[in-house]
Amino acid sequence: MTVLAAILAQIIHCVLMIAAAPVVSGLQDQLGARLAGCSGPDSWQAWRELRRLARKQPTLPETSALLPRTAPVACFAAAALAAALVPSFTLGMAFAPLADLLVVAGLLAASRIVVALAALEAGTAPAGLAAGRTARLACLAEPTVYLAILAFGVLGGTTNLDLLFGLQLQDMLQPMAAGILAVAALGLIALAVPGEADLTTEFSGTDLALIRLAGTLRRLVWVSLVAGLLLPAGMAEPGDGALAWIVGLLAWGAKVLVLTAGLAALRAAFGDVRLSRRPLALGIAAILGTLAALLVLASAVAA
Amino acid sequence: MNATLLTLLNAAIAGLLGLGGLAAAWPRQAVRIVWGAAAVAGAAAVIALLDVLLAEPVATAQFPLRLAGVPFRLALDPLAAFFAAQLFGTGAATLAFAGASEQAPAATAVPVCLGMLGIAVLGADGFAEGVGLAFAGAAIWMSGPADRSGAIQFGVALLAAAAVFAAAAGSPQVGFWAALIGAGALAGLLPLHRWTGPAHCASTHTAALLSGASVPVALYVMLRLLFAPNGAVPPDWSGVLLSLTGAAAAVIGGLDATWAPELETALAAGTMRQTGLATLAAGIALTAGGEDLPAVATMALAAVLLLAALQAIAGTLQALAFGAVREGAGTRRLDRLGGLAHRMPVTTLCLLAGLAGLAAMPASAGFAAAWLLLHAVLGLPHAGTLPSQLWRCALVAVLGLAWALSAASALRLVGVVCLGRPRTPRAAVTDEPARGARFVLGALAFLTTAWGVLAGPILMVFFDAPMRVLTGSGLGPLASPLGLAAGAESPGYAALPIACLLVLIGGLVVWLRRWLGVPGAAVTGPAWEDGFAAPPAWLPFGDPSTQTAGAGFAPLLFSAGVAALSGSTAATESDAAATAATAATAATAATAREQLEAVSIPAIARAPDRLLDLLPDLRIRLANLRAPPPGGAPAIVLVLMALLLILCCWIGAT
Repeated sequence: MTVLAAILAQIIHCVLMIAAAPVVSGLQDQLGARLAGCSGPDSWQAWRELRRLARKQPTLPETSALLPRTAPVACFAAAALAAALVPSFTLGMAFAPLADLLVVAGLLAASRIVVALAALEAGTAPAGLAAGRTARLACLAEPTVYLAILAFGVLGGTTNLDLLFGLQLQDMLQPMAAGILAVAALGLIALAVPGEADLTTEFSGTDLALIRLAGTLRRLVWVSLVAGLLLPAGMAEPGDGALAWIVGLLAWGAKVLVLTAGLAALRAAFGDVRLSRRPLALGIAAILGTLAALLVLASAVAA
Repeated sequence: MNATLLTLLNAAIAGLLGLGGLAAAWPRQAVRIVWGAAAVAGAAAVIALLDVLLAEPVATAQFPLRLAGVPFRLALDPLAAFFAAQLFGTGAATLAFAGASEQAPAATAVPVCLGMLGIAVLGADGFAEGVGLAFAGAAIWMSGPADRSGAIQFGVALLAAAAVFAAAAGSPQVGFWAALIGAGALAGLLPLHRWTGPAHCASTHTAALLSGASVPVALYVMLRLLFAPNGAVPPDWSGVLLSLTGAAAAVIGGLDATWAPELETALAAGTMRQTGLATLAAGIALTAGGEDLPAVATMALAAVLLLAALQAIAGTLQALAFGAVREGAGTRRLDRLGGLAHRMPVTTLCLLAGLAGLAAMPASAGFAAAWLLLHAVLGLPHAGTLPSQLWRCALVAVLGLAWALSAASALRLVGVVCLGRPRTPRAAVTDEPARGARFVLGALAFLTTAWGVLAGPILMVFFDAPMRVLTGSGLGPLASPLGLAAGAESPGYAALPIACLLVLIGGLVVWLRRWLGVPGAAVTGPAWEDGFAAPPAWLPFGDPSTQTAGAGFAPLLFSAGVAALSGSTAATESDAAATAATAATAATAATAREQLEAVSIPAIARAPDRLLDLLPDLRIRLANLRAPPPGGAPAIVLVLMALLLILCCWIGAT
């Protein structure tokens, strides 16, 4: 029975993630436009565009040889698996034993790198610059990601997301300040690492739809991670009934709404991180990550 | 049983040495001899793997030779067998590739080098190990052009040999320094990499020997000296010093690999990054051993073994694939290649598999190593002073940076060399290597992929016996059929299910696309160049300067630093300037390389009386050493240091 419930929860979670990802991205754009004083597209626009793209025949550059059809699939598979691993409304889903924090981080990075590789197939100047930029920013972001994982690993004694969310639910990831710092570092990375728009010039049709959907999934994974690591309140636990799941779903929706609104407000207040400022933002993220790790280690000594 | 296996391995080594001598004396039959040597090396690899599986106690064979009271003995235990299997397996791949792609006449020194490295791995003490290393270095030197880089490689091997010998004949405390200096130099760790890197350019099989076969030997010597010593406890700071060296090598090598203008220099830098990571892991294991944390030490040592085997396989794969590219396209410079995927799809896919295995993508072997290393750092004691805590943070940050750099260099190498438009007419008409050579590449690519997906079962089957030699206890709960686990209470990293899920999701998407009747078959058209006009008729592959040649794949700050270090013009803080600076550095390096190749003396080969001609050749080589080109002094210093070390321990022993 528990196994069936775990599998059912996993299926609901996967469907929820795929369905919600474009809406959350659309909502973020809409809120951003409203805060900037424009009317902006409504939050279903991202879904409509995906549907429009999915009906179109893809056009490939003449130079492409190996990757253009496989890369979008691989990019989507990595992002979708990452989204399937991060718990949203309940703990103890079927994939819970696989949900390692480092695995999720690696899947997110792999999803971007694959698109960058396929972009190089076009042999154009903008694609080459964008691929180089992707690799460069990943080099600056990855140390911080590892530091944040170190912080949570020492805090919880594990890097499994299901266990970490459960510990946070019982308020056992102490000190909280270290967790907040680590999450702030991760959030800064999510802000500073650009979207995939500059890599996808040469993609079209279903391929572009897959890559865009993967991009929205990656954004939702970040939001889900922050929600679970900082505010897991309301999440159902293994063995809970349907009512707890509904509460969990509502709580997750509310958390995602609040975080999306907060992100949009941050964007409106400070603007997008400019290209030349991105290394600086990532440097600040690295400092935050180091502080988080140091705080955790120091409090482990005191304990 | 073990004694029989040792006898068989000794026979295989003798066979390799004999075949090497035969090939030198009888070059007309080089192809057949090289194929024979490949078969012998393959058989030796199978015998060594069998010994790892049987996990029997050590067997020893003594030979009537003696130096400074140290006898010449060969011994076989699971640890030695584990590394011997990598050495002979990758050696067999190198030889088979040379035989299949008609490079056999140039590869006649490879069997000798393999045999000597085999002696170094099986050597029971400093004498046998040192002799093996020294002669292997000599074989590498003789196999390449008689220039400075090969001589330096010989010097490095001599230095390693002397260090190993000193560790055996000298006091036990010498062991740590011997491991750091000798094995570290052989693995390309210390500042020596600036001079040993160009040695990779000598030939395909030299690169394969340096990046594939000799890496496990170097790491084996390091592990032997550090973890199975004669009762000497290494001092507290030794782990920190070792991981500091490893971290520096990982970052410097990683940065160089994202910037190197040539195939082989990128390969050498990548090798340095991987051996640096392995050394970092060895340092963590040493620290954990000092803190009495056997589980953490086991995890770090498993990472060392994993990284050694991965580099042996993927390094050989890269060296051979680069050799095929150079044969086909006639150049090793990245800015003259491009678009090879059209004409060399198999080579491209194999190279992609090898480089993806090295980068830390989930379900790759590199990711398993990254996971083990991160959890080893997590397992170190939390208590400590602020410097030690900062040190742990720095280690983790270096791990993240090194893996990101390896992904960046993989992206750059595949993207610039194999994808996009050809940058020269020659690159547009390359051809795949012969079928046998393609088969070798495919087998190595398969091994790299399997090494990552089946990390759990492979660890369970092949790592337990060597780990018993190193730590006295087995792997414990570290590996399961599905993946790796840091402890009983945490589920860990499940490599196999993640790989299956990725394939499943991908397959589902492809099936959905078909089933929904979405217009799947794509049409091709010209790429969108941001509205620029089509290139003129005299540029049939488009304007080469509008396609990235691999500049700017590493962070700007670092590439500016690297450019400044290597004496190029100052790089400023914009994309364009960084591109220009890197291009200038690349051009300088390429010109220097061409000049070096022009002045280097061609080996006097191909004559039937090759053995007689060796003497004048040797004289030229020695003269080259006596009056080296500018900057060749390091070679002399190295040889002198080696001689001095041998002299010291000789005096100490008698």
